[in-house]
Amino acid sequence: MYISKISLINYRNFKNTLFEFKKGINTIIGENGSGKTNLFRAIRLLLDDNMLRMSYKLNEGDFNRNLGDWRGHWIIISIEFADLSPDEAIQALFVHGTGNIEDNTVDRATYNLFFRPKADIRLRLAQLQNGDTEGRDAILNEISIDDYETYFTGKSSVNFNDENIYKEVVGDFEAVDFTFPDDASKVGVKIPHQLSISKEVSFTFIQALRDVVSDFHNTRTNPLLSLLRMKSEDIDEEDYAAISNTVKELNESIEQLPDVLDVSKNIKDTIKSTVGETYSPSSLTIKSNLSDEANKLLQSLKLFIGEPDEDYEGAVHELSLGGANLIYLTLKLLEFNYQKARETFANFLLIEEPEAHIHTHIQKTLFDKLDYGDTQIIYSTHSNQISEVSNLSNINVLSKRRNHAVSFQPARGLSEDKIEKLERYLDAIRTNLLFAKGVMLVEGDAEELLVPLLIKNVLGVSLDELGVSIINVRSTGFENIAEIFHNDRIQRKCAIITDLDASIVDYTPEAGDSEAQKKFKSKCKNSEIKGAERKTKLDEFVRDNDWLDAFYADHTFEVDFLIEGNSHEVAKTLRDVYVDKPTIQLAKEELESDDVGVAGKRILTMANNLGKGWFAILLGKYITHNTYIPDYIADALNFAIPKVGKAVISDMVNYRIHKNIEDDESLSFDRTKATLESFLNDDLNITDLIDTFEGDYGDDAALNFFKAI
Amino acid sequence: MFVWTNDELNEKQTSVIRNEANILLVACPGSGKTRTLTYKIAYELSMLNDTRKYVIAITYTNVAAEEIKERVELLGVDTSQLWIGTIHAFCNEWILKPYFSLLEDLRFGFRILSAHESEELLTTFCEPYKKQGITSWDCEHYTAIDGIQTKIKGGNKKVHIDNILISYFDYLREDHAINYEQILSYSYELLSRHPIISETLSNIFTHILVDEYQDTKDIQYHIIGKIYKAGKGKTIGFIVGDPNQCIYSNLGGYPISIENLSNISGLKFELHHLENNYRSSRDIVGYFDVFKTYANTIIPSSTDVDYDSVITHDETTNVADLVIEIVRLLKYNIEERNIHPNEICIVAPQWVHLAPITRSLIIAMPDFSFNGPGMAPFSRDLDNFWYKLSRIVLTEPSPDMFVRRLRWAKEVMDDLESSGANISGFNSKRILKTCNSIQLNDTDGLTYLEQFFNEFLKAVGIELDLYQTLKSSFDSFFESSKKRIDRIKSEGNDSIENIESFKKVFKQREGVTISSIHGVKGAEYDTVIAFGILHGYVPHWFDDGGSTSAKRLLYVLSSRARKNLHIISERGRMTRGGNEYNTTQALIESHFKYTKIW
Repeated sequence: MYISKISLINYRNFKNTLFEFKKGINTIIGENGSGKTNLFRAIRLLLDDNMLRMSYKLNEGDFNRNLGDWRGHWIIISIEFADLSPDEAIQALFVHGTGNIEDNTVDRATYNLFFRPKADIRLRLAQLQNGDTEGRDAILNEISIDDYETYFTGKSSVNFNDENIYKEVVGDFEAVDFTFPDDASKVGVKIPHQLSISKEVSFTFIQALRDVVSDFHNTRTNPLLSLLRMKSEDIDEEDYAAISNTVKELNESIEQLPDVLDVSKNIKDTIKSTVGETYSPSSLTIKSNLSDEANKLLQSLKLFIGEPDEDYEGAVHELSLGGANLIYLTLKLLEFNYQKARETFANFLLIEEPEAHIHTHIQKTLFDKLDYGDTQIIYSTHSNQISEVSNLSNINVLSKRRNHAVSFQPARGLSEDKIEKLERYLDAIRTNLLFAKGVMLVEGDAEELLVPLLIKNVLGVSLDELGVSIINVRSTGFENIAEIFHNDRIQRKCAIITDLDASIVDYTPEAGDSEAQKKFKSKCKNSEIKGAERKTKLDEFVRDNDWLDAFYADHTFEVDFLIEGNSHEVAKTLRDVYVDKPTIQLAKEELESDDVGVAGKRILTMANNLGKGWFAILLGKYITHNTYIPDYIADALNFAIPKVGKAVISDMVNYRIHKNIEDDESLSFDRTKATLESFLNDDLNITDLIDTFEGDYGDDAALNFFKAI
Repeated sequence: MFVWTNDELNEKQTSVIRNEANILLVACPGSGKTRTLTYKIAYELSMLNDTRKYVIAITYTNVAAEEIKERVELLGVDTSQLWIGTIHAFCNEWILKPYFSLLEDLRFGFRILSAHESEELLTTFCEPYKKQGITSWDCEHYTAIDGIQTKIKGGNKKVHIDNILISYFDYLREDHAINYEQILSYSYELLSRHPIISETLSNIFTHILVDEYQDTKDIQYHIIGKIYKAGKGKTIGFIVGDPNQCIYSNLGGYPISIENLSNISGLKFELHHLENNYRSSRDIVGYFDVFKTYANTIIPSSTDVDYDSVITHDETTNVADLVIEIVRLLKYNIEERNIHPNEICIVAPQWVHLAPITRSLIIAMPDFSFNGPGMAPFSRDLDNFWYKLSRIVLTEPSPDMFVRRLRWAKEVMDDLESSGANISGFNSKRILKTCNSIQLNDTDGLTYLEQFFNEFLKAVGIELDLYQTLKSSFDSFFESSKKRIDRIKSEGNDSIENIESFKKVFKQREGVTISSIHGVKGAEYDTVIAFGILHGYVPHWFDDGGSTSAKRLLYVLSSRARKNLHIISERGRMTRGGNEYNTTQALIESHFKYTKIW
């Protein structure tokens, strides 16, 4: 049995989030603050014996802030288990309390926590006439957290992530239509008191610890002590008798030490001489108090460890941080194994940010080897190193949104072989694709090198700052990787940037064309036809997917870059490409030609001579803030970046003003500056701003980008 | 492991307990049936090696369940994995509560109507049929696997009764309420529609033990049978009772045959007998042996087997002199036979005959105590939450009551929880403490209870109006109690309202017991005095079992006696038609040589 789904509704930074898990090892990837710890806390509220009491102490702070007013709403934490074996006696009680009967089989179970208004409030809400908003508010405004109850059920049948289900089960706040009593066929049935789920399964949580040493010092959190506690229960009494006798003897001999006897005699004498015989204690001895009880004695044991390649064995606090972490993790894993040895039919191990425990290269080995058979492991990470070894299907990506987080399952709904291809891609490009807020897919090295440079120079912010990753697919096979961006999978924008390969010359054969010309024309023609075919296919591919769009260079990247008005930049590379002065002169003239057939042919010749990659590196040196971004790239960028904030736009505009004045002091941007202020104060919108800016300086290199926002 | 000595159990009992086969155990009266069952439960509990397993014991009444549980606890066995209760409680706890969401009728939750509420409701539905003389009594029904069975099987009334029941059940459905019989029918429906439930339960239950099987209904056999069957031997059956003591056949109870039992359960059952009667003298055994309807051997094995029993049959006393005659018999037993009053029981076929007798006896013999019906100011509705709470309210905290009161508190807590109330932060100890801390001075019993209940609700933070189950059982508790008190007062007992007479209900009983024949099931006394043994009562006119039913009733009442037995078929009782009731036929046919004491 394993956890297959977790639905979180209104809990902390989850407004309505679904996580999907597979058997074995699962990864939660997410940036800091995206809610990894909250997810784990939610799971622990239901499964961790040590946390159960906390589930009765939820409060207003546990509601998602996006709700606005939490009063009347429910927090729902719902876990679905898959792969049950109802015929196994060991699972029977669990199935009895949580198993969902469908077509007379039970292969999944649900276990839910509801934090909701108590029955009286729900009843009063349900008694309201539909649309009685006043009545609703009168009830809701009175609610305090004391009016809430924690209620556990099993066997729920509905998908709580569905907003309509929430309306059905909890109520429609807008329409004032509330439900009471519960429809048990939907919300499930109270967990029978014979069943304690946290006792049925073994569950261990390993916290992301930054200070392991202090954990070792705390008796409650010291993992060695928990291990010893677990073992002390089954110590053989006969074996132990000899030790406890020795301790007794030891205590006696300490007590008999002359110095000790002296001290006790001195105390007695002093009391007597100060307060007199009458008020003196009748007896006084110093006793040695070493415990001879097994559990207490074992608690006095300490771990001594030698670091690799060192002879000295030290206590935990003497270890290097990495060493201490490794020991900590090992002990926790052992604790888990001890727990598992109890008769449980499901084992869960939650590890929070293992990168906080140990060095990445040890992690890799660890997770490759961490195979506990029937154990489901869920770990959270913000390290892309770990994500590389994980299986794409076993990943949930957490992404921050305003006041809440969403989760994506990158492989959901994809066929096995597609997933395999994707995994190969992801592995090969070693990218933080899964972390990016937006993605641009490009077909070659030139785009990969030049697009970031263009953006940094023209807009003054880097792609990293914008949260956009650029990924070089090194072919035009975008579909394989783009498929991951989808409503069902990763909900992030992905712009596909590719070439249409429209011919730069009229390829109609003419009498007298040389062999070379004929060949060239036919090549251009073929490219154009293929390009058009690719476009049809790609447009079709992205059509119904809001997360994808394709952006085309009319010809090829180099040509489109050139004819955007960047012949100046390209011309600067000539000295690096050609040595022969007349050739340089000819090439310069051709590059500046208005005929794309002439200019385009030249830049392609240069790029091909040098190799497109090298040429791009060369060209990169000459890109300035005055270089024009080709329209299709500006559009693609606009599509890929998540909502551009006002502050970012304002930064970009200021950058442009600053650069333009640097070039030409006579320019004035006073009107733009004034508009900018109004824009930041929400008095004017982006169009007003850009229009004013264009009025101030109509030839700005970033205008096409701004206009596309 | 749980062990016992030869003094505690005889060889046969021991072998039955150790036997791991499925067993149908026929136990004659006084054979230590309850003791055997208790030890069997204790033994099987001690053999459990999995904390997820349960031993299920199904008893005929809640009182029996409580008693057996207490006895098992006294044997020093942990009862946390024992579930014991009536078949209705079993179905509710293990089938309805966990699976009701699968039933269209119940998915919005349900509450269980108390017997009192159900009767009231039926009475209102009978109202339009007053002319036809139909009462709620006529509408008594039970569920069988193929639907509702009415007690009245035919005649003019039948059609009307069917109509009444249809509206009654429609009303219940609307109201999200179910009556006792529906607990069984819905449970059976769930098990039939979803075999996986039986499979799951059979994985949880190592044993299902059934007491008093002779009074078990067909649908009950089928419910338990489905679980046995699904378990294919994982859940072991242990079914005990005495076919000779089957007295609820009009409600559908019957002693199943071993073949039929094997059929329903899919298990092979071994038939065993407990033949030693440790209770009665040879004379008494010889007497009730005549009324057997199932052939088994009964060996008189009492320590007082040779007691010179007095067995009389009086066919001359007139109903007007009945009390005088009973007083004479009581005095004879107490004074001449040295029988302790606590060891005497007076029985009659119907409760209606008992209340007036009780009151007359109290007046006639003021120096003696009597325990009879009509003495309690409120109905003993064992499933009513407020009845459960009043057990704690009306008993004093004391060391010997602690464990029992703690258990009652636990029941109170469980009920509160299942009614949907939020009582986090409470445990049984705290409930008990809360109750003990409530001090009231009112002397009127009902006012006292009502005030107490309100204080209690306040203390646990529950607003009564919001919890339908609690609210309706609250109303029904007070409504039925008021009626009862009014009736008792109208019969001349004025002190009944007093809180002291409320408290007496739960005090250790003293004195002569007065009960119906059905009510003495399982009990035993030195002397039994039975009256009203007349054809029309024994058997009842409506009983289509006829002489078999009569024999079984006679068997039950006479096997209660250890030493002396007095049967009175008084003269002068008249039917509505003006005919005199005659002595029960089976009694006449027995041709027994009775003792003459005067």
